[in-house]
Amino acid sequence: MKTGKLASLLFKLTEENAEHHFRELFHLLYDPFFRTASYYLPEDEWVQEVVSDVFLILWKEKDKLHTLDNFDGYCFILIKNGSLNYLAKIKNTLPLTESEQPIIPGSISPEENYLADELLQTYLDSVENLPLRCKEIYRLVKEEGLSYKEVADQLRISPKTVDAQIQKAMSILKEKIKNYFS
Amino acid sequence: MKHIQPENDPDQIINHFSGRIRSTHSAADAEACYQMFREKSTGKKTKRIPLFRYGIAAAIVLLLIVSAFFLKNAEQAKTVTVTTAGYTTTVTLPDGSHIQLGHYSEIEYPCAFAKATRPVKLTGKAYFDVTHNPDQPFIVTAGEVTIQVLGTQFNVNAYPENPYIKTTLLEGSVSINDKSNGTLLLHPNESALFWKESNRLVREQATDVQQDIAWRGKKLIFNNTTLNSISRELANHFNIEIEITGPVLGRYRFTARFENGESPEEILNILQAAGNFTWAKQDNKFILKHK
Repeated sequence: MKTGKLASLLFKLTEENAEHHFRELFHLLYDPFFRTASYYLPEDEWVQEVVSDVFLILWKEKDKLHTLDNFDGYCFILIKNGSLNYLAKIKNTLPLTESEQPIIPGSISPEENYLADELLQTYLDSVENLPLRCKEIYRLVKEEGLSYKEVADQLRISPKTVDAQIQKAMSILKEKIKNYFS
Repeated sequence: MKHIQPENDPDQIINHFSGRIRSTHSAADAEACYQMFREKSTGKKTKRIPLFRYGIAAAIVLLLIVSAFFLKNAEQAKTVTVTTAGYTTTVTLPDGSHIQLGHYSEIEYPCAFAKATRPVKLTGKAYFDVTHNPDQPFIVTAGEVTIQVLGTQFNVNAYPENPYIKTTLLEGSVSINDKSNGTLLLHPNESALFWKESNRLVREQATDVQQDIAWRGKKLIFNNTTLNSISRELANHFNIEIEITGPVLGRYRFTARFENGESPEEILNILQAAGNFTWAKQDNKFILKHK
């Protein structure tokens, strides 16, 4: 569903009325971009700053986007570079704790750096492609850190269902990550 | 922070990523980011709205921006699509109907209801509050199911991976059609379940209507709260009058959560069981008396 819609939207950006279609593109991509940037940036406000910059680049390049072989890969690089540049910019003004230090590109080999990128993208895509209900529950438990009971209460389902969906999500994700390494 | 080694096991890798990665929390945040983008692309400085401080003023301004955007959209575009991720949002349609959209859901509708019907396409979950207009039927398409609305409030659960599509009616009447099974007319407090695999459309007495719509309701959470404060909140929430007799009772403290759309009577019964009071209803007023 998503790739077909994305491809046609990218084409429509070359027509008149680009602003409307770009708005729709924004809706489609905002959360995935947010999630990618959040890996690098510990503060939501920084994420918003970087994501709005990335959309600015996409807007400036809107006529060429449909010609890209790998639009997703392109966006990932924009987000990653934007995030790391932002961190470098504020590094001197805000002290980051040990746990918040990002992966500094120079400190590991280029191959390992590339590996981390692809692995992150694999993880993000795998979560994005989980069935909707499963994804919702996975996000609340594993990323937001809610307990099974809290999620069960919030979604009006039993904790057993929450458990089953988490098992399902984990088995899908583990499979995709194992496949990535094989 | 460690960098990823190929020999790390999948569990560790998943924990590493899920520990850092966050999703958008609200449609308002997405909208604020869009405004940042607009500012940067037009070079125009608009008044910066504080992003993560929730004040009523900020919420109102953001709401106006969203509505203004939809109005502008109407001039230029044929259809409007609204998609949510990890947050819910409420959309107002051109005829004044409201749709509260659940997590990871999407609706699509024409920017102006200019034809014979008011068509809305739904993927996921939404609660509809539809403006009555018998001359222009409101029609929701959710997968295989078509719901024709006759001025009303109802809930549709149509996540693609559920084995069924469930429509719960609260007020008014709707007719549900799925091509092969013909039409089912629902009355308030009934649900229709369309089972995708067997292609059956079934009517159900909705015993748990409150459960079906509880996802959208406001929670009432009391944490060591005085009965005085609780009464004030119940009065506002349900638009009722509550009177506490005597000076002492109001200062008792309660801790409780009401998230199932409980009625004021149910809430008072639960509080009464834990506390030292009885309650009675007299001419539309709830009176709480110390035991």
